[in-house]
Amino acid sequence: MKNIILLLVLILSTLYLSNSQENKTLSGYIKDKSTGETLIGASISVVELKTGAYSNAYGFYSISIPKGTYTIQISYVGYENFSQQVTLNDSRKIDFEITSSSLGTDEIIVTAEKEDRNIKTIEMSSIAVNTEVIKKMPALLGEVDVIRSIQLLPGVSTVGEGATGFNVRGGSIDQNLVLLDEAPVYNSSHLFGFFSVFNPDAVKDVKLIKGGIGSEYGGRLSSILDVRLKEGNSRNYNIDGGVGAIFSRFAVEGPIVNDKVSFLIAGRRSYIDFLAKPFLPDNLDGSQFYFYDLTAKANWKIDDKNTVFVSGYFGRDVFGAGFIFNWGSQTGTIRWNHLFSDKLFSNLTYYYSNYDYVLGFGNDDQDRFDWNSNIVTQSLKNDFTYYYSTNSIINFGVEAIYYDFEPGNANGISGGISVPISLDHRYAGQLATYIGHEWNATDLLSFKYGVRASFFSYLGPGKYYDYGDTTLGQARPVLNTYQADSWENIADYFNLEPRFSMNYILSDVNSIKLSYNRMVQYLHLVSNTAAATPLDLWTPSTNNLQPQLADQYAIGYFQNFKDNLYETSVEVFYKDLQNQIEYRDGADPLLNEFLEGDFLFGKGRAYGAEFYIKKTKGDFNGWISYTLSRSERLIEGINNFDWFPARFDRTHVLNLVAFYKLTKKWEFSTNFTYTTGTPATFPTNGFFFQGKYVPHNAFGLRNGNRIPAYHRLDLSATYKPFNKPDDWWKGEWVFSLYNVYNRRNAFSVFPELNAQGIPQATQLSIIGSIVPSVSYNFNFDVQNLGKK
Amino acid sequence: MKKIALILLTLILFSCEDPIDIELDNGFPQLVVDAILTNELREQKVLLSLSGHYFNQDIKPVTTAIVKIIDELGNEISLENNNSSTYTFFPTELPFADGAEYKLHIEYDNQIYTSISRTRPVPPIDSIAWRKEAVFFGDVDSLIVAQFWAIDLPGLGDVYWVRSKVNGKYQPRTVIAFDASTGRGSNSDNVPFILPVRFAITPNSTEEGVRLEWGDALDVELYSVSPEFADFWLIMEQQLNNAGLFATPLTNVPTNIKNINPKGPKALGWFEVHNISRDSATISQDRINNRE
Repeated sequence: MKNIILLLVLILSTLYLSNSQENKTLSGYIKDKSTGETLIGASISVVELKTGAYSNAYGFYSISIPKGTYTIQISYVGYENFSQQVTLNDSRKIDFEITSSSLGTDEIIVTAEKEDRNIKTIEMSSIAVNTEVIKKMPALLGEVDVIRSIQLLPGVSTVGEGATGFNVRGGSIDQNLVLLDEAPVYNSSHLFGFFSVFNPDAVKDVKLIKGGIGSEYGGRLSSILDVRLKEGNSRNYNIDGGVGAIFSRFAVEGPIVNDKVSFLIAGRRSYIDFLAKPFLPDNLDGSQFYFYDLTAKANWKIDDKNTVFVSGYFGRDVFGAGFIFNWGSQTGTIRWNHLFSDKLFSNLTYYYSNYDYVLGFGNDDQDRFDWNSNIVTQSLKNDFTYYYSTNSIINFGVEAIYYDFEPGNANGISGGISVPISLDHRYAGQLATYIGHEWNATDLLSFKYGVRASFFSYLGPGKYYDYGDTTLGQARPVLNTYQADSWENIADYFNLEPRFSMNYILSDVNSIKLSYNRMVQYLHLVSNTAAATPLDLWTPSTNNLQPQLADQYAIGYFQNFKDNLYETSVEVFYKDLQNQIEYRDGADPLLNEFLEGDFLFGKGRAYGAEFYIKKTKGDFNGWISYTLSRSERLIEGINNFDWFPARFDRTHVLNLVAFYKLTKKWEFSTNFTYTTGTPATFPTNGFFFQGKYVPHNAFGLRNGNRIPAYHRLDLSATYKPFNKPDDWWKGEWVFSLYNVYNRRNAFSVFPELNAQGIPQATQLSIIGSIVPSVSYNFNFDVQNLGKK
Repeated sequence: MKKIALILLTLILFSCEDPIDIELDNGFPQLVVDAILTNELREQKVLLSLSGHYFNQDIKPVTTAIVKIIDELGNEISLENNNSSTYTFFPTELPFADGAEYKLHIEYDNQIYTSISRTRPVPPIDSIAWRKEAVFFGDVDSLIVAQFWAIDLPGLGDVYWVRSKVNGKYQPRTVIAFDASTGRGSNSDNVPFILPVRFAITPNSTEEGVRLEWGDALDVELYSVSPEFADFWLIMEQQLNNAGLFATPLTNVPTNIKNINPKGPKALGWFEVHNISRDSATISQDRINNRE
């Protein structure tokens, strides 16, 4: 810790001394002219000096240049190019406001970024997805979805339709840090995995980082999904909504004090339960199945130097029919942006995140079983960005996290006798500090390097155990039981996580990038099922559970064609994973105090190549992504201790996404997906035991077989009857066909006895038919009300 | 959990199951031992067979083995098989002493296979009770639901296996109880078995198509088992009901049958000596609860 501060001081002072020229600083925010919404990642360039910068996650930019008069150009895809003469005799603050081009031009734009950003910036293995694009993609039941959309990007896959979460570059779903306004979301799915918790009407920016992860991020091995909410229109009131086949959406945003205070509230609720009611038998009348969520945000621009943001999410999935089963997340974030100077930007964040589930069975007071479990995370962190010069930006910060796990708070009442079978809470704390430097060494060569130091402590109060050795396949026995006091450190871990990226620009249209990152993960979501369930247990690293580590190496070649009309890239990656965990066969994950004795340990590796071609503009555009990869695990006690494919391993993943604008009123989109079937274990033999026919693999192999390949075509058409920019009511109809050629894609294939008692292989298709749908989306612009 | 999810998916969405053709790797036959022995004055059986191709089910009986049970003092009981795959003996007094170890000894195809099991105590069954209850799924409004009453023995770490027979036929559903509960490490000591354990003697009508009717004979068997047997049985059951979104990977069921030559062919199956409590009742409409 001391060394890192020393290092920081050293770097800063070296930079300071080397800065002999007297520069002035131009700084401020880049915003959307009509809504006042700040823009993330907009490019600002100083034409005369051929230099520039990008706005940060809060729309802030800072450029230090010599005195003079300059042409400042701002570009952001989806917006009209903007330029302005600026005379800089002294440091100045200017907020630039640019106009969305979606009102003026007819193009559909498939990127959220400046045209040649993919070549020029150091970022690799990272994709920002425009929410407008997400909204135009064909969607299951017409409901656009952030997570289903990113599954069409290179390097991203899922274990199957309807499965929770997503897999990035051969990592498991718990290895993605999913952030909603900086608060971690532990379960990002509604209805198991059909929809995600992110309401597209409330989302401003989605960024997926698969590699070259900066030192400002930590805590998960495989990716960062950074979702940022809109701040709310600070100029006028606006209502967005939609009526779909499965749920309805509603969002209101507007100013409370013009340009100072604004808010956004967005809600969704499914109504499958209402629609299904007439078709349910009477005795199912009391059954419940629905989900809802509410997303809200408010911000207050106190003055030029201070802005405060408050945002929150609350959502639940509720099922019940003679039983209770519901789960959901709550997150809350308070952020304070402060400018210490026009070069030093600070953001202080406090967040709270809670994921919980509730289960209940039984029909009278004499015999009941009730159970809940949760994980609460609270954190305080401060991130700083120091804009030393246009060629040198330094990020640093500190973060403290406190975890409170409640693995199971259960109470059984058996024949009137209460049986409390709760497990103790588990507590953990984490401290991290980081520094990173983004440095354009020359016009062609740039570096981003840094280090994150993380310290994790598994804390009391609570019982903890030592486990002995075991013969393979059996639970490890408890040797000793200890009792820890409050705040006692049961186990400590310290890790340094180096990060490095490099970009070498070969020419205006191509570049080569390299990256290495080490990531450490102190939380584990262990699952023994094909798709993760809402009941899967998050557990901290403990005295028996080492933190997960990953080292990832990636190299990429980026080339654009035809004046950036086509962007292409090839990236190759190798990822080495340590301390991977699986359950032993027959493990009992629920309400098991000695669960750690049921874990098997090993390691993993993933490698592959990702190919990406994107047409960025024009009436016809879209992308093709293809990933060839392999993800394997080596776990003691599984597959005769030999490497086996991870359950989400898919050799080939091909995605095709296309948009076509036919007229001002009609737009079409389509996507096609082809993936290799997931691995499966099939039996070779069978035998009878106590009258039951038991499958058996004589070679003891895991995942040696594959289920059939998955492929699917979707189509969607959008009809906009009104398209004048100043209409107060804008509506659009979205017609979609999911699984156009009605394929029964296998989710899993398993051996079983058929009704006649004859063994057969059965394929489960989660969506076994074409799914047509119609939805209506509307936008009600209060400002235009009364205008003709 | 699995069932809840499946029901919901079928109800709400568009899921379906179809038989498909898949190609299986060629395995090889292995000796299978099915040796569930109870400490009673009843015929005791050990079944021996060779595993077959999963789809073809070409399972072969093993009729030429020598099968013995040996106690701690070296006393042997030889089992007779009359040229069949069932090897039996009929005890004249209770065959197994409480807490004692017994060895199964099998000689077959020039190999010797052994296994060791120990008897454990079991509590008596107090009674069987039943009543009509409304149901939420299926084609009927109500079903006869039966339960048995028994109290877990004092001390943590007891494991039990509950099976039931309807009109003399074992129903597929069984349950493993860890002390009075269904979960390991749940610390439910010396209380009546919890509801899911007690109700497990009722046939699972939605999955097995069997339901209790008035006048049925219901037999309940409560076995003491080792934790290893519980693992074996639960893993086996999981392989047999392994469908859906939350299926687990197919895995081989463990075995406690060992070839004394570690390099020799491996056997499958299980050997266990159980203490057992039994109770039976006729599901009569007049008397819906036979608890005294």
